[in-house]
Amino acid sequence: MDSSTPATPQKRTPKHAGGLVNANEDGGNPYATPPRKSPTKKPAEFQVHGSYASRVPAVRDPKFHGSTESKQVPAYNNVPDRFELFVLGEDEKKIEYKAVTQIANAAEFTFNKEDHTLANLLRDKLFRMDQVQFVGYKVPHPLFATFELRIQTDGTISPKDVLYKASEELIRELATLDQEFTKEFELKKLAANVPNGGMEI
Amino acid sequence: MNGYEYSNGYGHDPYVNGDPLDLSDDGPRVTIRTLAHNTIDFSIRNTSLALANSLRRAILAEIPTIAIDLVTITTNTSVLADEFIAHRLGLVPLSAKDVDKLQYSRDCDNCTDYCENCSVVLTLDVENRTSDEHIHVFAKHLFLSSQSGYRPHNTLHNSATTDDLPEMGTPICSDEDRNGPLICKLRKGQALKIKAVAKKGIAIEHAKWAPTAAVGFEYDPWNKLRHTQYWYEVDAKEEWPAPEKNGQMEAPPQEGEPFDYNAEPRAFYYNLESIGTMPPDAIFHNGIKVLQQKLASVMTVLKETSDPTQPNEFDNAARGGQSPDMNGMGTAYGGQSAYGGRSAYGGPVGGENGGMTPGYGGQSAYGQGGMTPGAMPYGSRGY
Repeated sequence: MDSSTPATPQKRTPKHAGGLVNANEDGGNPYATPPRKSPTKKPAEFQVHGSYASRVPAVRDPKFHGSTESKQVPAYNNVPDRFELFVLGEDEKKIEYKAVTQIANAAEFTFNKEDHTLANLLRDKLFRMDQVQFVGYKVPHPLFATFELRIQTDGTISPKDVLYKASEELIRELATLDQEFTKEFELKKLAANVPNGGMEI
Repeated sequence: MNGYEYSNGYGHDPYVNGDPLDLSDDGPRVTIRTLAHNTIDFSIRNTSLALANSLRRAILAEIPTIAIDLVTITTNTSVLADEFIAHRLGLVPLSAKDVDKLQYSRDCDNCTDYCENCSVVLTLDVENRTSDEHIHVFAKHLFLSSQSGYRPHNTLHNSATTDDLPEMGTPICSDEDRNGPLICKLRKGQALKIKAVAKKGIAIEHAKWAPTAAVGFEYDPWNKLRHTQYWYEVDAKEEWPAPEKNGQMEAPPQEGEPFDYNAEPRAFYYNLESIGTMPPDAIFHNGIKVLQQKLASVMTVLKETSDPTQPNEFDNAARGGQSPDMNGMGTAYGGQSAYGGRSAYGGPVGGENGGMTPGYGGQSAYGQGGMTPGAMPYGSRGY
């Protein structure tokens, strides 16, 4: 398992219970005080109870199990970590943008570590603004969490500022939605406090 | 009753929410149909399809929860492999009470591996010493190490409000017997002793961090917008069942009614079902908060980068590598006002009101036609 590589000191490497198992072995005595936390965990024998006397580890025949040397370096693995879908890489900025040269008041923004959740939301909001003449986004490749948003305005406002404005209005709209939901939720909860007033438990 | 914005400008039905006086705002409206301790059936009106869908996506994938992420196995003599059990442990639902106060392990400054600030440690120690019957190891056998193996009896219930949730990291056991999910079975002589570290995460990284069981989502139940086309053998109307629940919220199309090509989807029906790790209304609020944080980080980064489409504008130069929630913008969303970030910078800058109103007020981000040298929107930084 490639997940058995020892933990490196860098903070950006989360370990998954879905793949990683760390067998903590601390010598033979089940009544020993627990070992001190150390950065590298040493392998230990498994504890067994009951009628099983001592467990002899099976001899690994190289013919069937390959080399008995422990392999620290996994075979080449090009599967990216899942957290790379939302954690910015080193030297990666959240948004980069460049002006579109041929057209006035047009810019293309590249959002890193973002997906349709944000892209479509911004695109739709910008689309409904009068000052925006063109807006569109694409996800250049589904394997990489990045999208490009292209905005062209009529000149009264710059694309960067109209994007800022759109984000701001969206935050406000979401806050209103939040308030409305809270209002309605509290109302329903009060109504439900009447015994059996419609609330299923 | 209708869920559409007609091309003649007629808005939503004022009687839908039962409050005919509240028509001042043009904002979204919410109607909750059913409320159960794990499910909310509600609808949102007067908003766009993009917002409704982005909210659904955020709720499904980006709400931080807590789940077991690192398993140290001291003893496993059961019939299941170590990694098999570790995988199952990861999927055990743990209470997400106050999980926003927990740090992400990768961001925690307090430690290298994990610590109290960024994790919850659970232990499980079950041994079948003498019983001829198989011992079932349930999630209820997981104990927080902070409670030293003791848990008050009534804290295993899931709840309708966040206050009733058990302490963060306690396994959620919603079945009748309050056992929780079955982890493994032990024959006589078999034992399972593990230490598990639960960390904060989101469902994008692994589905174990998802707080929702499912989010039902529908709009336009009568297909008046013609967003889909029903497959049929002879007659679609006869072969497809009529939409039951959501169809009652909207008027079915009349015979011979002309197709309104300008109508847009305006009403969206959700059925949000929680797993039990956080109550469904908390899921909704966190979903909105996640979207707001994303937008806020967009705004923060934009504020800092220079604008290449504007020649010779005196602007803040791009500062790479800044964490998106510097200035506290990412975390200032506890209350109603979503624009709390402004308050940190009430410093005297030309043109800035310095108020905390959520609205944009009279100021423009464009700095009233260009910024005067020396006036920096976010205060002066020495560089």
